[in-house]
Amino acid sequence: MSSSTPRVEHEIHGRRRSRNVGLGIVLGSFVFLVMGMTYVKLTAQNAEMAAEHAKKQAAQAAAEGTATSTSSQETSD
Amino acid sequence: MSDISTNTRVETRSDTGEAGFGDYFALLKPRVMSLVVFTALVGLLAAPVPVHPLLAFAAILFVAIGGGASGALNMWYDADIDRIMRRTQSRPIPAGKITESETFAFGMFLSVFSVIMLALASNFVAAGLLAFTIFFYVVVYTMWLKRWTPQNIVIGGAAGAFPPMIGWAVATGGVSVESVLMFTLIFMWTPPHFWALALFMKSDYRDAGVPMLTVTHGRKATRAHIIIYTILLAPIAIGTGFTSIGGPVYLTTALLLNAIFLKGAWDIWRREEALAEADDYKTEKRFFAFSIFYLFAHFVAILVEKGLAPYGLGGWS
Repeated sequence: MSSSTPRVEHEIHGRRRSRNVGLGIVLGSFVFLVMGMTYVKLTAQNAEMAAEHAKKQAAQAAAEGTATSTSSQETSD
Repeated sequence: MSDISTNTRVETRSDTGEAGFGDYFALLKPRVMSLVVFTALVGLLAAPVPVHPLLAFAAILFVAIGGGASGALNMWYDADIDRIMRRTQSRPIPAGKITESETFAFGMFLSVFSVIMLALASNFVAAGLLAFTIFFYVVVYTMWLKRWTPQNIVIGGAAGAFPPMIGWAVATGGVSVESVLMFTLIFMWTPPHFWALALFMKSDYRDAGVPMLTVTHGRKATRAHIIIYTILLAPIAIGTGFTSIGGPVYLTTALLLNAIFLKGAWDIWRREEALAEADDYKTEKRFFAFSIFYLFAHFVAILVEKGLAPYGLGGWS
C-alpha cells in the first residue's frame, strides 16, 4: 500500500540540489574548455609544423635547383 | 588581494555540511576575484604578443580560480578573527555554513588545480607566478605578517599586485618593465586604500587584535602614512605613461587622478580626529571610494591606449 502523504521538501534538499547542479555545470564546462584548449593548441602546433615543413621543402628544392644548374654548367664546359 | 566587503548581515545554519553551491563560491571572495580578473586581463591584453581568445579566457579563468583559492585558504586560517570582525561575520565559516577543514581542502585543491591548468593553458612562467602569488598571500601575508606587523598591508599588498604581471606573462612568457610597473602601481596603491578603510572601520581591527597601523601607531600616524604612500604612488602611476603601455590618454588620466588622489590624502592628513568623528569620516570614506575608481581608471586607460593602437592613435608612436 502506498502512502498518500506528500514528500516534504526540506531546505537541506534544495541546498544539496543547488550544489549538485552547480558542480555538474562546472564539470561539464570544464570538459568543453579542455576540449577547446586541446583543439586550439593542436591546430596551432599543426600550423607551425606545416610552415616548418614547407620552409624545409623550399630550401631543399632551392638546393637541388642550384646543384642541377651547377652540374649542367659543368657538362656544357 | 584586498577584501572590501562591508556586508554585515549574519546568517547562521545549525546543520553544517549541507552548504549550497553559492556558499562555496563565496569562499572564493568574488569581489576580490573581480579585481584579479580585471587587472590580469589588462596585463594580458596590454602585452605586445597576441593570445588566442580561448586560451586567453582559460588563462584568466585559472588565474581567477587561483586567486579565489588563496581567498578560501585565507578564510580557513582567519576563521577565528572573522568571527569577531563585523564585516567578516557573514563569511561561510563564521556563519556556520561550511566547516574549516572543508574550506582548507577546497582551497588546497583549487590552488594546485589552477596552477597546473594555467601551466597547460599558457606557460610555466605564468603558472610559477600564480603559485608564488598564492603562497605569498596565504603563507607570507595571512599566516605571518597579518597578525605580526602593522606593515602587513604594505608587504601583503604584493599578493594583489601580481595578477597583471601574470596576465602579461601569459602572453609574453616573461617579465618586463611594463609588467613590473603595473605590479608597482597596485602595490603602492594598496596601503592608502586600506588605511583609509581602517580609519573608519576602527573597532573591527582593534577587537580582532590585528595590528593595523591605526591600532599600533594611532590614527594621526596612519593619516601621515596615507599621504606619504600617495606621494610615492604618483610618480609610478605617471611614469607608467611613458612606457610602451602608456600614451596621451593614459598620461592625462594619470595626471588628473593623481592630483585628486593627492588632494584627498592631503585633506585626510590635515583633518583632526574629532572633526572626522563628528562627520562620520566623510572625507575618509570618499577617499576610500575614490581609491577604487583611481585604480580601475588607470587600468582602463591602459586598455584604451591598446584599443586605439590599431587606428594609429594609441601609445606614443
